[in-house]
Amino acid sequence: MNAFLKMSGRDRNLLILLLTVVVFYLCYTFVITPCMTETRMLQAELQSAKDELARAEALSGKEDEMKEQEAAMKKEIVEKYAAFLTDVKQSRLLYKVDILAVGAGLPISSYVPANAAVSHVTVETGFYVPEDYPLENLAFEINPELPKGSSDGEESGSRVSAPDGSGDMLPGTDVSIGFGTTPYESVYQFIAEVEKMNKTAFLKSINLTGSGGTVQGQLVFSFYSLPRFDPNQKDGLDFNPAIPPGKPNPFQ
Amino acid sequence: MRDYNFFESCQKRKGFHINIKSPIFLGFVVILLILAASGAAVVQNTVVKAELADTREELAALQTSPEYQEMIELQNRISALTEYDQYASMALEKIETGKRILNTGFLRKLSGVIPSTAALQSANFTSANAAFSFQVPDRETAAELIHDLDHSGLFLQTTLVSVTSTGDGGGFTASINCTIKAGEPQ
Repeated sequence: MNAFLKMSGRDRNLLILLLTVVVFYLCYTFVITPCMTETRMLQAELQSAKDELARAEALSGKEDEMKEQEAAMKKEIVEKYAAFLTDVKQSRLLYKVDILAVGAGLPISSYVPANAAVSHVTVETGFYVPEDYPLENLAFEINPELPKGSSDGEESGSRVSAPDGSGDMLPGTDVSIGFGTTPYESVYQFIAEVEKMNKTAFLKSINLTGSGGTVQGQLVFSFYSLPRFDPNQKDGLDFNPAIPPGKPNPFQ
Repeated sequence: MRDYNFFESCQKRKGFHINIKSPIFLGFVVILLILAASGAAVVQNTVVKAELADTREELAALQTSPEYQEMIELQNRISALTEYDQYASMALEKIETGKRILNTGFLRKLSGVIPSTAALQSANFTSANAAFSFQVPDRETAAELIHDLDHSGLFLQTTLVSVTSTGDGGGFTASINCTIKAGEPQ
């Protein structure tokens, strides 16, 4: 203290100024800044926790409402996707196809199902790429009333499918149905019967040869099923085996 | 300008002189302010920490209650249903597209545009393309056939591959390839 008092006024002032600066630096660097940074972080966490708490509290009072919403959604989904098969088990499909073929009078000679697999629904589509045909363009400029796109084009093909990683993958299978010589009407009728089922089955390809009104060939159908969440859900393809099983000689 | 000393009575009583203009006093005041600001920051930090701890405790108590757990399960089921609906809808839309391409309506319309003197010998359809082989009595019928198929509205493009004589005087075979219109991407 004596040393401080013995200093000249200018030195004392400088010393006090220095002391003030040092205290400011230390407080700012080691107390104020860390505290403020941490406080900002804590405030963000607090806001988040408060929001979560508010959500949780809001949720607590909505039990009945949410149960009703769940029930309504289930009902709506079951109705909306009633067209889907509940599974693509070969026994059920074969049984149903056989019933339809017998009804339509289609003499099926081969039934070849592909392995059931989980995949995107793929529909082969064609598209037309018009060529840039200068003379046609010129003609169109001369007479704008000319129909456009009359030139020949390239034919190509692609598949409509979902991008990888999306969730619309379904269990499905293709079934090739071959048949011997039969009236065209039977084939038509069989396709109409499959359509009448109004299920998730569509004709993928048709291959017919014939003459004199009769045809033979092959139809390929794609069947898709939607995994059901309601165990009581039925798709109308009921199959109840009726032949009693068991016999002493399996070759007899 | 006149200077007022508001602490004069105190100073006189205690015999202690404070010069508010002195650097010592000002420095002391500045240091006090800095310390006060530091203290305020620490206090604020402590208060926020305490509030956060209370909120978390309250939230944890709520979240561990069986009612809340049930609600969360319910909410998860609703979310799963929403997602299920979304993906099933996408798949169904594609299946419906597939159904609209090759069907009895298509076959009926095709039958309706084929000239009565032409007869199909073979037909291969996929949902994108069709390849036909027709038996026709003459080339004029083949031309009409191409025209009718072209204007049927079923095909985007109709291409005559060949018209060949059957050789036995039974007429001609017309091979035609088509791009099915229903397969046109939207």
